[in-house]
Amino acid sequence: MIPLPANRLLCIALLIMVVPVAASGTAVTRALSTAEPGAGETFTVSLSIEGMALGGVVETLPAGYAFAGTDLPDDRVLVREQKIAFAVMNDTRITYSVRAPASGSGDITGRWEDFIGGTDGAVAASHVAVDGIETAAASGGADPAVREAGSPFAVLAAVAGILLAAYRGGRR
Amino acid sequence: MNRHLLLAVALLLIAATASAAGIPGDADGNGVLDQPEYTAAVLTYLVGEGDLTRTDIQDATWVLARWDGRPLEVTDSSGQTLTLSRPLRRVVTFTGESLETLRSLGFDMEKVVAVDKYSHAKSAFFPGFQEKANVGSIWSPDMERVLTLRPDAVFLYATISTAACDEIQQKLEASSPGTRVFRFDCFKPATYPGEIRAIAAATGCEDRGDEFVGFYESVMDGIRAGTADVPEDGKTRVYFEYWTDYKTFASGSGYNEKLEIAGGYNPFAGESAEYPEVDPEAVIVSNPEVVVKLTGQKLAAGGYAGHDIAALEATRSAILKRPGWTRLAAVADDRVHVVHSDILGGAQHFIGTAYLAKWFYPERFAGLDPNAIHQRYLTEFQGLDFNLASEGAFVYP
Amino acid sequence: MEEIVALREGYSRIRKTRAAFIGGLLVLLVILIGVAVTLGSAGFTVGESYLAILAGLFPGTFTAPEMADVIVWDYRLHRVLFAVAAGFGLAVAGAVMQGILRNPLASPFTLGISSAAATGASVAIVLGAGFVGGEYLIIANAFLFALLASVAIYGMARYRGVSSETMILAGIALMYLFSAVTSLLQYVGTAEELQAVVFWMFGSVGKSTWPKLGIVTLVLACTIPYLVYRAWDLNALAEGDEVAAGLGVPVERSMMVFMMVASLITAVVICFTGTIGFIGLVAPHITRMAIGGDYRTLIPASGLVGAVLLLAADSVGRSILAPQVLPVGIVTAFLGVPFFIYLFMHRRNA
Repeated sequence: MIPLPANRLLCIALLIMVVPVAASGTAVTRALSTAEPGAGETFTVSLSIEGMALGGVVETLPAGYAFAGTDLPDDRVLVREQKIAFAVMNDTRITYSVRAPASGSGDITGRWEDFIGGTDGAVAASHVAVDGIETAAASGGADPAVREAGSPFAVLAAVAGILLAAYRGGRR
Repeated sequence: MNRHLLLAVALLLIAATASAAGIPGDADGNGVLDQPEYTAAVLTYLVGEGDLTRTDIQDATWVLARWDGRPLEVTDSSGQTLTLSRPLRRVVTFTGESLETLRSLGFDMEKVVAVDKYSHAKSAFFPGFQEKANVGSIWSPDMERVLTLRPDAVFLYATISTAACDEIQQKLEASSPGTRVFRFDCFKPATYPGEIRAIAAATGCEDRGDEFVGFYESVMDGIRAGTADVPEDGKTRVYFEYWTDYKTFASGSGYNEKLEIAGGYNPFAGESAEYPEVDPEAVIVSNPEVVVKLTGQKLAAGGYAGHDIAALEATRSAILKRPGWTRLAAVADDRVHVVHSDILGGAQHFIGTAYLAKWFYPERFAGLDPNAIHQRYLTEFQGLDFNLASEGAFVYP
Repeated sequence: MEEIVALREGYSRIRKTRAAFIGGLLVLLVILIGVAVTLGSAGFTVGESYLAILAGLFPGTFTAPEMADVIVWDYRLHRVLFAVAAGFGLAVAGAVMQGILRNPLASPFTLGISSAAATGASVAIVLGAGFVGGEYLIIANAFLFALLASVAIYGMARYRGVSSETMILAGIALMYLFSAVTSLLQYVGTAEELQAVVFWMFGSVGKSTWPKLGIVTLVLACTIPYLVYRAWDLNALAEGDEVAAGLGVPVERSMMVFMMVASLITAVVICFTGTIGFIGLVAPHITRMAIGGDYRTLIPASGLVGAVLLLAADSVGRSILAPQVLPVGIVTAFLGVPFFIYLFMHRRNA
């Protein structure tokens, strides 16, 4: 039986691999409190925003995951199904909560726009899976940023997959 | 039935122009964009709903951040107050001076969509501007082209060519109500600093505007201060000749104003015509201490287009050969100069005035270096890769 | 009997020629208007320009591309129609002048009217003085000074006896007087004012607006029918004073009335456009060569020829140096060259 902490460490390692090269000036990065929430568990997502005084961020949650509140005032958040729009006004950190479904996995993707600088970009995807279990729909929705990270990551992803499968196999 | 259609179309047009004219995102139309309206507009845009485009949101952000959510009021040199609900994105300049001033302020030249035909032709001073549209001149403007460019702002003169400028303004206000018509001269010493500040405010280049005004005023105020205590009868007598032989300036003209700022005394200033033609004998009788000859345009020598010092030298030699002139104080003391109108008229008049001051009072202005001022202007403010040592010909000697 | 038949046939042939000429001119004019409306630097296709016209007339049913209806209706259409009206007026005035002065080289400007109008404009531009303030200062001055010239002609002719010779002499004297005053004003004025005067004197239809077009059309609508109605008197005058008197035409009064009407038409046109030369001289000539000198048809026909010529000249002026617009007065000045060469070549046969 492989202990949970090791699995989590692996996921964190994977996450670090996926951190995108920051765009010059503005950088928006995401961190999850956990990438493998339990069924129905609420976890927090932290967006770290650098170099953007007035702009916007749109987060798209994978299917089944639901928005569960944020620390930003109500008039600066708008939810449309799986999309959550945040109006950024001199914020360096936005935190919001997400409730995981009974099962399911996917990528949380995001786009940011700087209305003063006139630039925009993507927030690197964050993969999340309930109890660490990958569902078929999730693997189909691979985030392009993940693909761009290069072949070493693909190898690591394959290794991770094997380890996870082994873990599950071990659990039974 | 037709009347109802007409009314509907009219209302639609009114609504369209009204919404286009106000601050983007100002939902209640009260002329102020407050934070709730802004955030609502941003959020609606982010989720892909609503009518506002990215440009609209960027403009709304500008208004909120720079103008505190309110429309900006700019007063131009003709005294009219213009209200801007959005930052300027498409500018047409009919005058080279306003174009030059915009460039000094660091305004994004990509936002200048069209220039007048004279600036269009100046490939040395405005390199790359030939790709922009050409809207003709103030006296024969290409109104169709101006209208199809849908400009936010059009720059015209305030105090000269007023009939022609008024006509262009009237036509624009009738056909294109969203276009703001700015009347700025940008070549008069008395009004230039105020104009720089007004244009800087309108274009959001306040910091650079302050810097440029500081530079300009250091030169001009330095000259004024340096000549302030010269007594009336102690002023240097100057004969300043226009392009044509024996044509000089009188007190109505801008060139005379700069001559007087530099502390010179023009014995012909009192003549009634703006460019009086004077009797050659009167010139000799007045015995000027300094003679300055204007070159440029008609004499087609010097300026930014070439490095033709020889042509300026030839002009000077021709003057020295005039009969009876060897007895003039100016010729005896070797104080005959040629200056190009590019640096004495227009937005660069402070450079030419600096040369005049240095020629009129060499000791007082020993520390003044007009060439350095000119080079700094070109390199730092105009952003031109132009080296005065090897290019251009503006003064001789 | 055969002579009468031959005469009748000859006359009906002439009438058919005249009808064909006028009909052809009308068709040509319509075609030219259709072409001229599509010219301009805005880059619309021909279809878009016509769509803009329709959209202006029937706003519910047609929609034009953006800015097209503004440009076509506020910039092109009234300019084209103004060129038609101005050309018509100048040509008719020229025909009448040629009739009463019995000089085929007479034009609306022979009696010094254009010089007077130029002086009026210069006074307005340089001295800022005039009869009406505001934007109509120059226009009112030009108009009233032009009328002043014709009143002066009238006065001088009455003093010395009305005849074509006295009128021409008086006209030349006035022309020199007004030219001298204009030159003085140009010298005294600033460089700006000088430029404004020179531009005014080039002659252009660029300053037309719908109200101005309305004024000119109104004046033409009132005067042309009167001229055609009295055209028989002109025919008589053209034969000579004694012949005319013998036919019962009140010679002096008629000449004065015709002169004033022609001056009025000329004044109302050039106060808006500046001096446009050669239309009033060339158009009646061409018409006379085609359909003869009967003023009942010569007046409307030369009007049409003048309209075609001026519109064509303005269209050339707008296209030849595009996007720059060459003032129509400069283009028509070049018109004079082939015309006078033609006259020169063919004069020997007279």
